[in-house]
Amino acid sequence: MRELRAEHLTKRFGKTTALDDVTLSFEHGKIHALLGRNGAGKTTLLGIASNRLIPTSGQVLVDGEPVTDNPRALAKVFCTGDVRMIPLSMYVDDLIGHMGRFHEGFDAKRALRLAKAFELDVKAKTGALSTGYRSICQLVLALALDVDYLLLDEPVLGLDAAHRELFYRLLMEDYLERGRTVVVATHLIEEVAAIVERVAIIDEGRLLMAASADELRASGYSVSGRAEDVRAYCEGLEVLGIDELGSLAMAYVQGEPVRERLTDRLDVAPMSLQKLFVELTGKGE
Amino acid sequence: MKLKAAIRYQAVELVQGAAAFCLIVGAIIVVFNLLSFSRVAQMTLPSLGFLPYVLMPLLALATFSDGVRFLMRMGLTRSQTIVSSVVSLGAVCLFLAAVEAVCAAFVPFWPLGQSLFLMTYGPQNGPLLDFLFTFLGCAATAALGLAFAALQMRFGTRRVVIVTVALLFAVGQLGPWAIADGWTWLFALAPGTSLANPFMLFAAVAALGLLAAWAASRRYEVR
Repeated sequence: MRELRAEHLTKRFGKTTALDDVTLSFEHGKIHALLGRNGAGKTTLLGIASNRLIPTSGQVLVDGEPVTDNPRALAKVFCTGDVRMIPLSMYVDDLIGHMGRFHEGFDAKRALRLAKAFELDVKAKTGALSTGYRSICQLVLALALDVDYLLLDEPVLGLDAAHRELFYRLLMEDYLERGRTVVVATHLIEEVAAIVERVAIIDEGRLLMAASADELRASGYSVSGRAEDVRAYCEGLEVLGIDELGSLAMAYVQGEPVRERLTDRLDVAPMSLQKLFVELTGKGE
Repeated sequence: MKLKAAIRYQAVELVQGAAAFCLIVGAIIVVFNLLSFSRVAQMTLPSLGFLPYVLMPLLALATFSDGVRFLMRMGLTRSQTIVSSVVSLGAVCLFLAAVEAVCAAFVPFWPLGQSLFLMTYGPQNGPLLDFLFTFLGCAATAALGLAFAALQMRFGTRRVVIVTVALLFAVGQLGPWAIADGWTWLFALAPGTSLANPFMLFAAVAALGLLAAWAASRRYEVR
């Protein structure tokens, strides 16, 4: 089966456990969201998947082959991220030139077109770019590269609204054209909610949940109304959390709505991925 | 394809750095000679022949801080990054040795004024041996720099610096006279020792440095 798979992946940095026995599959040809709060282990997971880090135990497999120091598997993966891996003194156009020499499937002309669309100055040094344009520079490289597994770590870090919209549009076009696997690691859930097909949530190095985005949305709902009515409704149910404001309350409940408990004074609505994520990770954003 | 691209990237960067170094040293030598020739000032130009052996470990450290990170971003394995670094540093050693040999052959004052090898062992040894000495010497110091950089990347700066300082201190305590005698023998400076000694010493140091770098590179990480 074509997939990028983490198998019993554990990564420790000294006494800190960044990933704790994570088993997770990113099926080929889908857009996946890897959700987690800051420090949840997203970057560590992608770092291992791109051979930047070595797992303490377990492994990451790309189409069945271990990725660590395996040139064949590594040729199928490209990872962007905020970890400084490009020399600051390198010019953007030189970087594009190098990409073409390192990767057979890199389309330099497309990269230059994308750079123009994002108004990225290709004559600038990468070290002179702002945070947003550093992200854009990496996205331009990623979108111009024909690899099977594209790992985007916080891809819209520092991007303004117009650039974010442009990136999501280009990502969708790229996906429809190539049908490759895209993993978007982020904590900005609402932005990716509309485009992702599968969602994995990790927290404190552990996998909390992995399912399709629709399954996750259907796994819970919100119920709102007067606080005492909401509390009465929730009694005995699996409640993820309750927000109260004066005499009003909104509860986030897992499972299906209980029709016999619903009254005219209660409103039921689907739960957003953002809310599900916040309640599952349990600390509030 | 990736290894070839990596070697091209690193070698070009490093040889450019070494060429800039040669131009700066050359300019210093020319200015000194012009000043002396025109009698504006009477200055004795110090021997700068040791500088390539200082430059090489610095280049090895520099190529590790940026180069290896970049190569790993480009999808190279750890072994490939080491191979690329070694080949590229080797190219710089060849370049510096070639410059040294050309200077020894064609610049009149070079053998007795600037060449570390010819000044130490005598100008009769010629540019070819000067080339070999410079190449192996640069390779040895580059390998030490590479080993230090790889160990630093594997175990962290603090640990490697502490261990290095402790080692140097321990060596310093183990009888400076014996060590001085050892160096004299290794560099064939003692009466009756073979000229092959410094070459063998450099080759052995280079091999050990590369071995340490290779071993450390097996599990280093980019954070």
